[in-house]
Amino acid sequence: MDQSNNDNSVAAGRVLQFIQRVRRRLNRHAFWHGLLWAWLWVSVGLVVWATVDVIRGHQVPWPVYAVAALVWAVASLALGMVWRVNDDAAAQQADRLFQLKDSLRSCRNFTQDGRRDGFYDLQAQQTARQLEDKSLDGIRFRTPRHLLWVAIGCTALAVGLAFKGPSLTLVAEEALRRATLQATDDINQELSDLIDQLELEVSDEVEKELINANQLREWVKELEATGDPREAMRQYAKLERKIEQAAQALQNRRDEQLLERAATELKKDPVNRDLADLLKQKKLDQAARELEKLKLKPREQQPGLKLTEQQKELAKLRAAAQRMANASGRDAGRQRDSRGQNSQPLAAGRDQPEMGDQGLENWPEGLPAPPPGDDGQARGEEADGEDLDGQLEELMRQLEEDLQAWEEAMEKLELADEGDQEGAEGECEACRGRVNGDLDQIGQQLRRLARQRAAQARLRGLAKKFGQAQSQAQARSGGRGQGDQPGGREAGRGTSDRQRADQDNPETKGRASRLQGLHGQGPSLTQIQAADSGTGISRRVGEAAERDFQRQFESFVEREDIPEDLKSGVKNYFLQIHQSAAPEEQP
Amino acid sequence: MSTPTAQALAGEVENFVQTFQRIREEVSRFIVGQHEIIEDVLIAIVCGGHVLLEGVPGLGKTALVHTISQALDLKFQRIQFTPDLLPADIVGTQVLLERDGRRQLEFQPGPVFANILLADEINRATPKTQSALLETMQEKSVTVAGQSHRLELPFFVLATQNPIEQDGTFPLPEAQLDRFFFKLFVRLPNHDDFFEILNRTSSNHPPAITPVASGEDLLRMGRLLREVPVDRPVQDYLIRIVRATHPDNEDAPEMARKYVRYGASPRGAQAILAAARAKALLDGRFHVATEDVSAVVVPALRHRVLLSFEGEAEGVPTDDVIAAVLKKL
Repeated sequence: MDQSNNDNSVAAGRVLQFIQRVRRRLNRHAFWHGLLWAWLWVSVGLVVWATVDVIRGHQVPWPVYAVAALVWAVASLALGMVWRVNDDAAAQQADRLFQLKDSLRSCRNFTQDGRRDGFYDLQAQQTARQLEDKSLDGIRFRTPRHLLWVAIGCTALAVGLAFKGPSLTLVAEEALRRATLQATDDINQELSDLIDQLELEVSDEVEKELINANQLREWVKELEATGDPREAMRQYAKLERKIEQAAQALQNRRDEQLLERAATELKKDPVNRDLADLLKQKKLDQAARELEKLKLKPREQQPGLKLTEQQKELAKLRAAAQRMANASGRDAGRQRDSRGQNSQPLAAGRDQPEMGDQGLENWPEGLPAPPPGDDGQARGEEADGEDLDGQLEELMRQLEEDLQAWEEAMEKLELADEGDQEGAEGECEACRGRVNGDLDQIGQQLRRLARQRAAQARLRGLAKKFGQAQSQAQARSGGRGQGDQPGGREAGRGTSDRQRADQDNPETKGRASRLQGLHGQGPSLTQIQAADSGTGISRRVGEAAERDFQRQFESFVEREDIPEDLKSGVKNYFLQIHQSAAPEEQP
Repeated sequence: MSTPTAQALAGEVENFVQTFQRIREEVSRFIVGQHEIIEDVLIAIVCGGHVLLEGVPGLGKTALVHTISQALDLKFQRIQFTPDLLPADIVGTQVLLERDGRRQLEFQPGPVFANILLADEINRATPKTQSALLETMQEKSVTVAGQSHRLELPFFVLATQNPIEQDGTFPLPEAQLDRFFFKLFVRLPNHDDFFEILNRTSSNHPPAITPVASGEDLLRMGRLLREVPVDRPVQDYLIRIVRATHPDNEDAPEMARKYVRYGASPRGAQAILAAARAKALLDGRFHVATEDVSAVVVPALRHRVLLSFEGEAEGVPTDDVIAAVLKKL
């Protein structure tokens, strides 16, 4: 029995050894197969890649070949691993290759199952005998020649395509992209320098605060160096628009209009003509100083000053204040009218919040509310309770009221008995203090307006310079890439004809792409010029008709061929009409 | 270098092969050609199975069976099946005999009591008579008047049937078909074989067949066969083939799905395995290979695959269905 077991073990061992040798050989073949198939697929992929690149005008980058080689190595290993065989599969394949009719596989399985003796012993010995004349050389690696040739051909083609250079158009585009990238980088730096310079130029703290240089720097930082000229110009246009909007936000149109009217009113009074001129010329700082001069000193500091003289000074001041109040009152009346007439659109605006949202969502961050204009004007005045625009008007009315109160107090002082003298004087002093306070506030308001005007002017200047960045970007990028761009004549190949036969297309000449304007994102500035608030109904036609009627009426009255009684009758008729119409106008 | 046990076993195997060869050669002395048929019939006999031979008249079916019986030195009986044949005519009956002045019923064995039974044109008998063979084929015994009578072993039924002249015939029921180990088609001999047939049968001295093996030899050969080892993957292959003949199996080919009503039974798998073992030994191997299985699948399964109505209507041969199964696996 032991002898039988030994024989069986020896025979089975030889069989198992043979199977393992077959497995190793088959695995080597699997690796070579993997290598070949991976080479084939990688080379085909490489040809496709290279062809696509060449068709698109690019040069095939050399790293692609390195990556392909790496992919080939990895894919070969992967395929070799996937196609590896185990002992069972090796035995099966060897049975088939040597036509052993499952001898190897059965012997291996019987041995592994521990089956011995009898037929198993005979089977193992028979299989071992069959293997004596079998050589592993019979398991040959058959090189699939057609695959090999296809792989070689594809590789050669792919390498050949690598030597084809890029197209002239792409070279030009790349040059343009690089030039644009460099230009935008330079321009961004220059814009930062401009902001630094602006900050240095501004000494006034209030003005600095209004300009908000940090915010401007943030905007410049948001600019990205890009190789796309259109994108670069779009960015600069957007930046310019932001700054323009920031400048517009600093505009106090109502106050300026008020000052304009006040100057007109004051100009009528020879005493206040200097102040009127300063207001007219927008020299608001000097105007504020001029206002300070109008402040009245207390009577204790002017012992020799008589009450009547003080009343004269007060009357002079009140005259100026009244003119300013008239201007503000007329403005207030117009504002009231316009508010009354605009109430319907305002309500409509409230009913349509998306319109307001749309207007505000593009508003730059960190800035005051948008400047009033169109429907935005009403919204700015109504919605923003802290808006300083319009405060001047209130101050002027307040000044006028305080002056009136002071005047009344002076009259009381004049008529007062000796017992009430002290109380009346105290009241006068209180009124004087309020008036001086009002003058101070108006002066401060004028100074604030002066700072805002200065900041606005600086911002507009900056916006102008930023706007130039668009053309600079275009010029710099276009200029740098000009030599490499297609189109035009080569150097020294110009024509002597004055009129060239073949016209160059100006659109593609020297430039592969053009900036196409995008609606709402272009560099154009939509600036709303504010107009006086009013009813919104033009009176030109009505006034012209009235003038014509008046002229005809006057010529009728001056005609000599018409009897005097008829003239007086017509005149009385119209006077009666006006007299009867006047009370009806008052509600 | 084999041990005594292995040497003895190798001797038995050699004896098996030699005995088989002797029988085959002896049969071939009279039967011209038909080598595959002879081998398959002998394999079925060695495995203890019954064979259904199908072929047109005059191809030597009866002669083949008769020759085999002569070569095997076994008791041979022939029954010509006709529509009026009764079961008692096959299995035997009790007859009233007077013996020593006393009359008693005595069992008179029928022709089934033999080692080799030729059931000629079996499909001409009525189903009742056909089914009388069922017990004998499966149980190897006969029950008459409540008494069972064992048949002498080995016992083989070699039946023939004619595929044409279907008038007045009774197709064998599926249960009985399943009892046959192989169903073999006897085909027309080729041109050269025709010459030889004419020469051998037209002389005054036909070849004399002498017995070359006994019933005991056959039984011993059958026992040896059952020891031939079969590897698990080979068994797996066999099982998958049998299962794939069923139309609802996932491995079944389209043809089986379309034309088969019911596939082969496990008894078919047993027949395949036994025949494959014999094939392996005859091939000089001590294990069963998938090639052995493939070689015997068609004769073992062709009568066990039941065609559907579509299959019958279109006249699809079951051999094609089995070939499709083999091709798919």
